[in-house]
Amino acid sequence: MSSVKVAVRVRPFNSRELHSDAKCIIEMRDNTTYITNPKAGPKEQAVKSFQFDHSYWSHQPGGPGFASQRRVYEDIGVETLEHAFEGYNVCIFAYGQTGAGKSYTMMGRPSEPEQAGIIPQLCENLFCRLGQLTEAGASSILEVSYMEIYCERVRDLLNPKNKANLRVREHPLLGPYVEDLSKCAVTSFGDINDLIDAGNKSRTVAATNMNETSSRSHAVFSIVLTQKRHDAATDLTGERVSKISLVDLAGSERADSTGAQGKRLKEGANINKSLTTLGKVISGLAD
Amino acid sequence: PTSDADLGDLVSRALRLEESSADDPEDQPYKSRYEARKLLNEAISIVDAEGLSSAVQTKAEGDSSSPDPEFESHSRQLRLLWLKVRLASNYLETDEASEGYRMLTALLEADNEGLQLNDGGTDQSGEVVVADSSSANRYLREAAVKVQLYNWLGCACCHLNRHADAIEFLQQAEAAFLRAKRLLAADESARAWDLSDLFPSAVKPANEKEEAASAPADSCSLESLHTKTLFYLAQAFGKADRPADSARYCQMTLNRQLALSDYAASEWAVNCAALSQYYLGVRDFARAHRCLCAASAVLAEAEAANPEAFAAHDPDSELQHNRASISRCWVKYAIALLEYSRDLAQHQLEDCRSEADYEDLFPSVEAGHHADKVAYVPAVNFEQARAIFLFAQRHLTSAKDFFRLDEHCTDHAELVRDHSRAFLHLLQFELDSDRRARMHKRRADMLRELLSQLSQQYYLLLCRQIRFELGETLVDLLDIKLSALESQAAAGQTPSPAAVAKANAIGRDAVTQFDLFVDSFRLPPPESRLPDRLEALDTRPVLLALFHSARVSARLPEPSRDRRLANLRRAEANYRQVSEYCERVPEAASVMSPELDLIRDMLALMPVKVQTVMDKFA
Repeated sequence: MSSVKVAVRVRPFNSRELHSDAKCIIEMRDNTTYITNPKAGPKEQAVKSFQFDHSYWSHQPGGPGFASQRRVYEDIGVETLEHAFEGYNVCIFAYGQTGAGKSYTMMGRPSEPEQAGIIPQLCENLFCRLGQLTEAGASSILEVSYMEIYCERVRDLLNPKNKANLRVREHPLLGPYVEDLSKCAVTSFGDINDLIDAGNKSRTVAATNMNETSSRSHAVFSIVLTQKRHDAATDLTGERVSKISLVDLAGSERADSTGAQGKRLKEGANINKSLTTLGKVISGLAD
Repeated sequence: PTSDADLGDLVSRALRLEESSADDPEDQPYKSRYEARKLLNEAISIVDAEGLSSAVQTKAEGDSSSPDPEFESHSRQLRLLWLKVRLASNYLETDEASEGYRMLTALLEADNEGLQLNDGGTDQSGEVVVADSSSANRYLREAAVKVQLYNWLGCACCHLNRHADAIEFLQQAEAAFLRAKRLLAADESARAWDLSDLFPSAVKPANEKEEAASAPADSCSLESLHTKTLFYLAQAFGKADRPADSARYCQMTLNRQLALSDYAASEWAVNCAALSQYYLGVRDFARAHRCLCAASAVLAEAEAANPEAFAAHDPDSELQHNRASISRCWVKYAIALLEYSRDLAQHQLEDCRSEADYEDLFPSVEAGHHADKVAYVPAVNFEQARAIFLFAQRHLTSAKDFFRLDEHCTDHAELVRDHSRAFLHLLQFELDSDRRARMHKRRADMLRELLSQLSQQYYLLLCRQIRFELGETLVDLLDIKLSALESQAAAGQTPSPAAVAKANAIGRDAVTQFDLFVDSFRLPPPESRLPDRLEALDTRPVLLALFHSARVSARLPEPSRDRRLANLRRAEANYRQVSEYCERVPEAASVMSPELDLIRDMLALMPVKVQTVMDKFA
């Protein structure tokens, strides 16, 4: 059992790409992704292959081998939920450029049932299983948090009126945590859905106020699951706590908080113009 | 003339557009820059047109109506050059690096009438031969634009991964600046041109009611351009894998900030302290010392200016954080110096550097007050080592006061480990074994306390590191106790039961720590055993822990025969486990090669040891 799994997914062309007659250079077979370099010289290897735990071909809806939202959830979400019920902490995060489809994969379009992403499907399944647990005599508590990180500031999306920057603390026994982050108890899938909606709206609103778009911030949706089981023989109640973290990372191509990092891919080559990065340059020396 | 105002307006708007490009929308990241590009091109055509019209005028009239045709012509050339450099930089910033670079090199090579771009004319001593003040003034008008051009050539080359070329261009920028400075020094009334000289109406708003903020931020002054040159060189050297040169230029950039009073005190201090860590890496204690003294001196400035900020503990205070960080840098310095001192002593070498090597890196900082608090030469005896240790301890206390366990858990833990390490290096100089034992005990106590406060779930790696170090400390302590017992036995004395019990307690504790360390790598229940294959980085630590646990077990002077036999069996099991793992995993055999021979010997000797115990207790 490996504790880290990597999946890659390719989306359909968008209108701009269709308009400019873009060619698809990605191919997927089983779990291998093949990328063709259209500018490869005669002596270079044009096709490179990459192995992943999952390669999701979602380029042609309705086409052969199409990986649907449902399929992605079944491979990734189901196992994640299983581990969480066993008591492990789990985390799923989506990484890629703006427009690559991270939010679609993580959230999807919940209003259209077939297009719901990992998060809504996971929450729905979560409640099904909890229902089963309750019937079997166990009880559980679910608490949900939703926060946004932008420019190294943390905002509580479930309490957007609290404009204060939340502090990240490290407690020796509780581990790292975000101080004053709202934890909302939820008892139904409807509850969670409402919170997700509200949180998502806060992101957009915040974006307008601060003159940034949501694709520049990271969003972290956390579910803390506490399962209690009463053992009749010993009359003791055991507790199992696990945390599910679902992260939608900021577009990987954009400048970060300092604004001086430039394009990630060329980070190494570019000279930083701003003297505020002197500290970074000096730290780089000592590494 | 109206064209001047137009020109100034275009330049001013172009610069402001570029400054605001960070706010461009996600899907049009270069919107402002493309607009700026249009404006720059417009400005270029205006200046070109001026040039043509005045050339025509001169030809037609024979003599010009303007007072100084050469000055006018030169100024126009400079304006054109500045605009073209600016345009080229625009291409660099919109990811069209090759085009930008092409434009810049074209500017370098073009025959700019009379414009001394390729600095020629140096005499044997390398000084520029400047015939008269008019040539000097001409040079000073060009200097800023020249430096600007070379700076951008440097950036372009880095972008194209041609670091050696970048360094050359940036060094030319540096040389051009230094030449200009010499000329300025020679003539008090001389002045180097900046943006306001090239485009007067760009900087001074036509309408007095406009805010000062509407003027472009970058005035293209020679001094500020030179600071950039130094900073860019620091980076270019870094990318070209020349860290010593990079460090030197970082230090020069820091000095520039001081000279131009362009710095935030506590941030400057932290950067300067960070630079010391590079010098520690190359064991240049003198330079590291100088960096840290300067940092402390400038920090003191910040504290004096802001006493309220340091009054009460505030985990979110940047000033307090910076002060604590600088203390940590001092701690690292002291530990590195002690370790180096210990290395020298062990190999009976001498430090070859002399007092004369102490270069004043930051002459403008009054740091004398801090300089004599700790040495920058290695310690040669216990007294000197102790002085360094006590200095480190003071900074440890100060840093721990900010980095508290329940707010900055990881930082606090690192400081405790540093404290333990400082003791470890100090006791190498202590000859008395009782005092050494006491120091080991101090280490063990602080590591144990830290371990009890941390959650193994959230700080697994940290707990593992601390536990391993605790195990090693207990082994060192045990060694001292055992050798005391052995000397007593050799002298014919019977060791006291209390001393034996003490040694056993320490030994058992060591075994426990190493066993717990290994346990942290076990698979979760129901399997509960070590994985068949450990991660590469975990291999040696885990196998070493099994090895240490075995060695200690085998040495314990337990008074009962059964205990001794059980210990030997446990030791044998551990040795076998290591040996089998190394057979199964060849990479493990290579990382454990120093110990494997010993393990083989131990396993071979095991029957003899068992027999010895049986005989002894018969």
